[in-house]
Amino acid sequence: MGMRVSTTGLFQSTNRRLMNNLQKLYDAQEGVSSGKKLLRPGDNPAAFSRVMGYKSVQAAMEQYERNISSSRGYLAEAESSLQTVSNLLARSKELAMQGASGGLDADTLAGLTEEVGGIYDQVVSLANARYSGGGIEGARYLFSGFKSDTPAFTDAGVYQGDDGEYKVEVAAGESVTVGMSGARVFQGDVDIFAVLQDLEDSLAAGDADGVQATLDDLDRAIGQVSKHMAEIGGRVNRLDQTEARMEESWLTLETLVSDEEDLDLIQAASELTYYETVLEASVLSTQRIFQTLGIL
Amino acid sequence: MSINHLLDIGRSALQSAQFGLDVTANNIANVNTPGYSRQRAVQAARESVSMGGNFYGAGVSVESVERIYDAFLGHEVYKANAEMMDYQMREQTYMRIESILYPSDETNLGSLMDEFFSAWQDLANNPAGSAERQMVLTKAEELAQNFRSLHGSLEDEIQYSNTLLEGYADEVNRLASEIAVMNQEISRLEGMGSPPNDLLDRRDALIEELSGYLDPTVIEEQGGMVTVLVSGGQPLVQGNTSFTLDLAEDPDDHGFYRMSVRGTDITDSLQGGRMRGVVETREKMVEFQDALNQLASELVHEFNHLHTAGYDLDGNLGQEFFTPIDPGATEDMARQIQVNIRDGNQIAAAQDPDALPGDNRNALAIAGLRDATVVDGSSTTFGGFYQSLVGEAGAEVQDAARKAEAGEAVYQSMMDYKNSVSGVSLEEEAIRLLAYQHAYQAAAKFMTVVEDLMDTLLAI
Repeated sequence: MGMRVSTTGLFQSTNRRLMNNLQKLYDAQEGVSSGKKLLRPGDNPAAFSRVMGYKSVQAAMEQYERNISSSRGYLAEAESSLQTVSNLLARSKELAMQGASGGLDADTLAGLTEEVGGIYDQVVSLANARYSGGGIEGARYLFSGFKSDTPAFTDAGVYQGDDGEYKVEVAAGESVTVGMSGARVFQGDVDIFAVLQDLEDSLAAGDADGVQATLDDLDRAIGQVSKHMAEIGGRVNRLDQTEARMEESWLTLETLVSDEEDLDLIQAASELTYYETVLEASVLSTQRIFQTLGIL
Repeated sequence: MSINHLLDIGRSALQSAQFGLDVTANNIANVNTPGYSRQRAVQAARESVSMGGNFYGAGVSVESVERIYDAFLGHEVYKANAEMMDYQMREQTYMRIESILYPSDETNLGSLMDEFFSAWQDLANNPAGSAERQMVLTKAEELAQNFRSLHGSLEDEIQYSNTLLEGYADEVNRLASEIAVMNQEISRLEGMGSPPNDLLDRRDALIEELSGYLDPTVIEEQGGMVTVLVSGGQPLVQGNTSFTLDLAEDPDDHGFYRMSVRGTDITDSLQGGRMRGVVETREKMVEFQDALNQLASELVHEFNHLHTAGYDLDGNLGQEFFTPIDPGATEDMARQIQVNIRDGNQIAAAQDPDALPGDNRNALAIAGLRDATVVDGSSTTFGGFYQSLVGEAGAEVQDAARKAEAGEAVYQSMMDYKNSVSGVSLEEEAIRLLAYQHAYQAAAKFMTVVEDLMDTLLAI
């Protein structure tokens, strides 16, 4: 013989079963409407900790992305300055070759001298280019090293910066040097300002041999600028690679987060329907039982 | 044999049928009364009368009104209820702790730490920028504020445990004294015939209520009284006497209340009930708060250590980034944490006082703390420490929820058994109603026959 069924017991247990089914329906509904199976740490503590870790790494990546884009801004400015410097040096070489051929009249010489003088001023001004750092105030001198609030060179071509070259973090524990010291770029092997000054002086003096003597230095100056432009290209490359690698990791993390966190919507929707049916059936059967038991 | 004898039998039949209807009516009336145990009128044939060598039946009598009840199931219900209430209490508490430690995906200590470190990275990108410097201070302030408010919320929860225990102790003391009063009433009435069934039900209900707070063990005594023991042997109710559950603050343990009965401390021997839930969770909450203090303390230490090694925008050696706290008071670091630097220019982003303002090396070093395993005996990062703290809170919720659910299942099945034995069945009562009704009608019919007999007799 089974358990004796009392009215009290029947009422309590059917009520409880109804409530259980209602709770399951509610849970299924909460899942479907949020699209998540991991809402609170208590839902699955280990998975929740993992997801927090993934999201924290993603937050760091967003920062690395900002670092990379800010570095790109700096490097683009530097590259564009150096490109112009390179063009100007090429022009200076043309002028020097003209000057070195000799037999030029005073007017022509004066014209060449003046143009080289102008080039000198432009190169000083390019070496003192400023970078506004992606719209954030506090423009700094590109080539002053750490002394970023001081113009890199005086009009006389004297370096006022230092040899500091700033780095940024582009991945966890991975830094890239971004800053370029003007001393290295403009006065490394060859002092570009001195060469231009020599050229200007020789042209002014009509000293064709003197002019001839600057041609080698001009070539070396052009080479020095190209070398640093290549260095910039290398850095940009490295930033691109880091960024591409990061994008991949980002996607992997997204998948990991989604696997832990997101509900299988098809399964959830069918669960929802299932619990709806179950609840309906249990309501109906409860009504039936209490209708049938209408003796009293 | 006299006509009177017939009248007597008829009267007893009418009376017992009426009595049966009475008991049935009472069962029906109490079908929805919580804790009510169904009752039965116990009938017996009266002792027969011997006359001329023959025995003649003398009618029926109602011997007693029996309460249908299984004492064993009662005990199981108390035990299951104590277990269920214990873990439900823990589940609710840990869920609050969980949402204190991790209020949302957007705002939590971990994301604020991430933002703080990010601000240092932005500063490293532009060490002279006053906006970047200001942002570091803003994020530091937000982080410190969050530490303080987390500490405060946990402190509120910790303090609340004493408030809860005060309320529970009041309830326990009220219930104990009511049980003692019931004991007295029951023993007085038991001597007078039928047991006082309604009082027995009420006493059981009081004990069940008591089992929501602690862990009663019930021993049946002579004369219908019960002795109620708590925490494995300490008497709370003995006969018509109840003892007080006393609370005393423990100065060595956060001022937490310790519980005692008649001078015997029962705090650590509690086996169930909400009170045990409170005792267990309050210790855990202190652990969470300690962990938070440790995190704040190590953060302050590491930041100050690096910051005081760098140089600010004016070329001065860096000051303590967070307000230094004397080493003796570090246990409350999360409550006390304050940003010491007030002016963005005082942030020491540089490593070399002669390389200003572009030197970002100290800012980079500080930003690097994000990934440095310097926390908890160099075993984890700041973020990792926080993540495991949240994970731990989640694990407590999960564990308590599972046990609460299991406890509830046991409690429900015990209640099902108890209802199966003691619950009123309206169908059953309907049949009894019919039976007694028929018995009554038949007895009444019999009485009219006796009346006819008497009329016949008198007409002679």
